[in-house]
Amino acid sequence: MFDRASGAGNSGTRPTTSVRAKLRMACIGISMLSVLSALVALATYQGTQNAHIGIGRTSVPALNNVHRLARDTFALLAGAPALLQTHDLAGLAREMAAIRLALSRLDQTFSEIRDLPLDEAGSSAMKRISRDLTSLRNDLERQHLLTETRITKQIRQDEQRDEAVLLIERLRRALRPLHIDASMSVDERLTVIQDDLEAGTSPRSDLADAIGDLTSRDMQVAEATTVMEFRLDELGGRIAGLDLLASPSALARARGELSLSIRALVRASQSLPADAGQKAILRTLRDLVALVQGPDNVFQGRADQITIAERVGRLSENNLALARDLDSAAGIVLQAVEARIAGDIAHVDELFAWGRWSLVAIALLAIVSAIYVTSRFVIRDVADRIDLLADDVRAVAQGDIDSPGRVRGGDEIGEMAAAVEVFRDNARELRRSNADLETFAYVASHDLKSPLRAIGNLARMLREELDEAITGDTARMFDLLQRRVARLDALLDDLLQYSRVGHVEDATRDMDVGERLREVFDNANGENAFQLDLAVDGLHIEGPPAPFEQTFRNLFDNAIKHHDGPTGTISVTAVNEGEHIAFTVADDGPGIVPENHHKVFELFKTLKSRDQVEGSGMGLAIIRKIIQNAGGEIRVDSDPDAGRGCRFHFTWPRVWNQAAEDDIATPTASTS
Amino acid sequence: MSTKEVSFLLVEDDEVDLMMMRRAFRELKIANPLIHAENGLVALDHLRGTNGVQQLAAPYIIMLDLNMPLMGGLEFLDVVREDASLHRSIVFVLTTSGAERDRLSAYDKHVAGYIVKSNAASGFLDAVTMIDSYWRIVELP
Repeated sequence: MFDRASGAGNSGTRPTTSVRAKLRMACIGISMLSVLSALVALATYQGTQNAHIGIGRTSVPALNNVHRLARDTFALLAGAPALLQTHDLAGLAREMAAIRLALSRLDQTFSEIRDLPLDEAGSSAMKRISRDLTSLRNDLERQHLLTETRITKQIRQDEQRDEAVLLIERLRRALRPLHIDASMSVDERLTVIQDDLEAGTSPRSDLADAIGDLTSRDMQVAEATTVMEFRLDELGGRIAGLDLLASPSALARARGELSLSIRALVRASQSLPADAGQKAILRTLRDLVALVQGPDNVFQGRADQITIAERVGRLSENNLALARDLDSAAGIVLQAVEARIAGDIAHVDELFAWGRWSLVAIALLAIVSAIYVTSRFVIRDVADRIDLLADDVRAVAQGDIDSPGRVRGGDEIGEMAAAVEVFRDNARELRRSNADLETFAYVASHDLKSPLRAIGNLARMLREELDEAITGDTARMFDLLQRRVARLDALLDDLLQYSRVGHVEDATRDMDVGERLREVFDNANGENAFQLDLAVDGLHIEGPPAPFEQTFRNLFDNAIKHHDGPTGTISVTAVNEGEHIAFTVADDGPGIVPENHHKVFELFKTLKSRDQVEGSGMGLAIIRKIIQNAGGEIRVDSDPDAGRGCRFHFTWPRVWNQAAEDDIATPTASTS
Repeated sequence: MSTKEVSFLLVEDDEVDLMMMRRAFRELKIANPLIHAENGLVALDHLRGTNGVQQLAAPYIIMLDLNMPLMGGLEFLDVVREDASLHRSIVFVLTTSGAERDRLSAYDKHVAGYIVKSNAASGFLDAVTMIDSYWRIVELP
């Protein structure tokens, strides 16, 4: 698009791209730069906004959520012991509901952070948290189930214990009459024996029988009941102390001791008199033995409870470990989130830096482009060349049509310059043909005049030589010959004058219009038959006198020549219109019919035969040419039907335009 | 008043004009010699005595036409005004040209007078009368 090869310098520049195309390109360039900067600004803004959204909507809530997750987990675990220590099922359900609520809250919190885009460590930590939470949930559910079993077993154990206590009490009540009877019987027999001994009345064998009876029956019963009561007390104590047994070994020892007590009790019950009482006792005893030693006995229940407690304890420890693990994983996640936030902030900083430098670069590009476009297109290719072209055009307008144009190029300015060149050529051509025409008219009229004058002179000389011989007709012929010669001579004079209108070589001077016109009129008014009526108010004009005087001379001549009476009045009025003066020359002659108005200013036009009124028919044509050269116009106003006279209206410059005169006058001087 | 009779050099290509001039001299009974040259070059020969022409003795008055073949009046004036021995010559222009340009050019070359040949019946009578009086009244160089 640039034509650098055409060289430096304004006149040498020959841009071929049109100015319009250049301006369009410049506009497009500037628009594109604007769009580019807007895009950069938008991208920066968008990136910043994304980072802000990342931080504000994801990362910061994530931080809070991770914190809450850890806190809630510990809160949950702090609530777990309450679950373990609950003793009734209703309380357990309440505690469990609370725990499940807490778990679902944890799930909720976790679901909000689960999908956080994190680095590898953060992601694996997140997986750990997920796993830990699942384990925790399972453990808590298991603890709940175990605790439920434990409570059920406790209740059963309590029932069994109450039943055992009841059975022991029943046995105790059944043994008491036996024991009392046996004691009383022993006392009676001892009393009898003692009496017998003291009386000595009974035979020794009887006495020995009596003692034998005593020892074999009553004494045994008494002893057995005593032993049984003792053992029952012992048994009751052991059952009552069952809840205090916390380890399986203590429980096994207690069981061993209990089975000793049971065995002693059963053995003692063998010594009881075999009657209805004994049967009831034995039956009750059997029930008791089934309670403490049979299947699903109270010890077994207690042992199960201890096992469950141990397992629950282990699960609690496990939970604690899970919580710690979760806490540490949460720490890692926190770090990851913080790293993410830091990354986002760093990203924003980068974006800002990028946007700033991009905008600076675009601004620099825009400035450089503007300077380049301005200097290259606007100033060098357009403004400078337009100035140059304007100078050239001004020079042409002022008449300098010989200097060559300095602007070239294929754009609009170049085209205008080419057009100016055409004008210049035309003006040169016009000037040359004008000069030719003028030379022709000048030479022609001079060369025609010389022989014509010679003819006139010869005719005159001939007439003088033939003085006596000339009479009548020949005298008239000589007269006509002389007059025709004079007419042709006048015609040639006018033709010469017409051709030379505008070639003013008079100096410009200040003229008193009234004074001048009176002088011109006096010359035209040879026989003093006409009057001049001036209304020019001491007007002055500046310019060469010749064209001015000739204009009025011709008008006055015309008015006098064409007047139909012997006398008349010619009036001249002048109105100052600023740069121009509007003149009106009016006569009181016969006037000109409107159909002929346009003819009067034509060359060689006379409205009457030349034999009636001598005239070349060029007077008004010369006037019109003079006035047009001076930048004015002339028109005639006359209507013989409406009134006599005709009025010529025309304008005359108050100050003669030197430039317009030079335009035509200069070439004349150069051809002489 | 000059003691010596002045000569007239008429530089004129038109035979009729020459005839008219001689008639005017005759009518006005002017006995001064009237030498005729048909153009500027011949006139210069007379003034300088070159080309076998006898040199015209001073004092003389030149009556000069403007439009002539070979060397016209204005060119002749240029040569005369450049020539140290001729440049004081008294020259009257006698021409058919009433052109302002010719008139001003002639006066620029210091002519004593510019006379337009008229068609009036008097012919050259007025002009010749004036020139005859001129040399009698005016001190020539």
